This record gives sequence, C-alpha cells and structure tokens, in this order.
Amino acid sequence: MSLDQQTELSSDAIDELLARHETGVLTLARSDEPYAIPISYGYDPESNRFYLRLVSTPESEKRQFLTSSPQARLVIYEEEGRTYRSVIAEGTLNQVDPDEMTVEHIVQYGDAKRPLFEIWGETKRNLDIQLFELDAETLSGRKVVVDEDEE
Amino acid sequence: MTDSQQEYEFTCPECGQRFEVNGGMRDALLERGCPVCAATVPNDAFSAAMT
Repeated sequence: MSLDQQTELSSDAIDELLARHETGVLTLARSDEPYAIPISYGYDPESNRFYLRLVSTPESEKRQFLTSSPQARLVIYEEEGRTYRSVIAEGTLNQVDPDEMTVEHIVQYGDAKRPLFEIWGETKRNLDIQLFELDAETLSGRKVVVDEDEE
Repeated sequence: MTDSQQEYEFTCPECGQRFEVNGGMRDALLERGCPVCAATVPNDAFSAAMT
C-alpha cells in the first residue's frame, strides 16, 4: 500500500469528524507505562472540550491512571473507502464534580454515547462512574488517501 | 444559566447519583437524562432542596 495523498484536516473538517463519531481511544501514561482504553465522548467545538464518562472499580488498572489530573491523548479515526482520517487531541484530563454540574455539562453528557455498563457485570449503583473533561490544548487531524492501484 | 439558586435535589433512580439543581438543570436532566449514567430521568427524581 502506498500513500497517494496526505493532508492536514482543517479546523472545520476536524469538528465535522468529531461530530460524526462518538467513540475514540483515550491514552494515558504513568512514568513509562502506557494505558489505552476505548471511550465514548461528547464534544463542544466552541471550547474544544471533550466530555467523557469513565467507569472503574477500586481495583481496576484504570483507577491507577486517574489518580491526579493526567496528561491524555484522545484518538478518533475513520476509514471511508480508500480515505483514512484521524484526529488527535492532547490535553489535561480533569474530573467533573457532580456538585459543580451545570446545564452545559448535562447537555454535553446527554450527547455522549451511553457506555456499555453491562460489560462490568454490576448494577450501575455498584460501579464507580466518573465524569471527566478533556480540554484539548492541541487538536490536529490528517487525511490519507491510499493509492488504488496498490494492494 | 440565569437561575443559580439550587431549588431541587436530583437523585438518579438507576445509579443513585445525587446533586442539587436549579430549574434550568432540572429541565436539562428531564430532556437529556442522567449525565453520570445516561439513564432516563423521570419527574419524580427531584425533591425540594434542603437549603
């Protein structure tokens, strides 16, 4: 496979891609240890802010990476025929305190796809569901078109 | 948000999350669901705030 064309996505194209999708891969790091998880998100293009729900248990590996306000990277990508697009957001993950909830939070989390709580095998009351915001300090996107003559 | 006074206490019937809300937040919860667990929010999920 060869790359026929690779271009940067415009700000509008990035916003459109983020609006088309509702899941991505969130990556965290602790020292030199990486951690990546699939997540669902809501996104506000005005503030470049992502709204995330993260589900964990006290023993979970995820909890260990969420103990402070970690630097995070969120990757959203799509494939459409021979065209591949990806967006990478980098920023700090901050927990949302339910007591500081606003109408904007309720609206944005309402737009975020419901997580698959069933995979945890627990009722919602027994799960630790935490809300986070990711303020994208950098937001970049690329489009790659693959040469159709190559295998 | 124009009304900052917390008038109700919201309790999610599915996840049990509680927090105080004003009228605008109540309307948003009824329309959008629980921000924590995404459950549908019924009218009886609200009680008068204690403050």
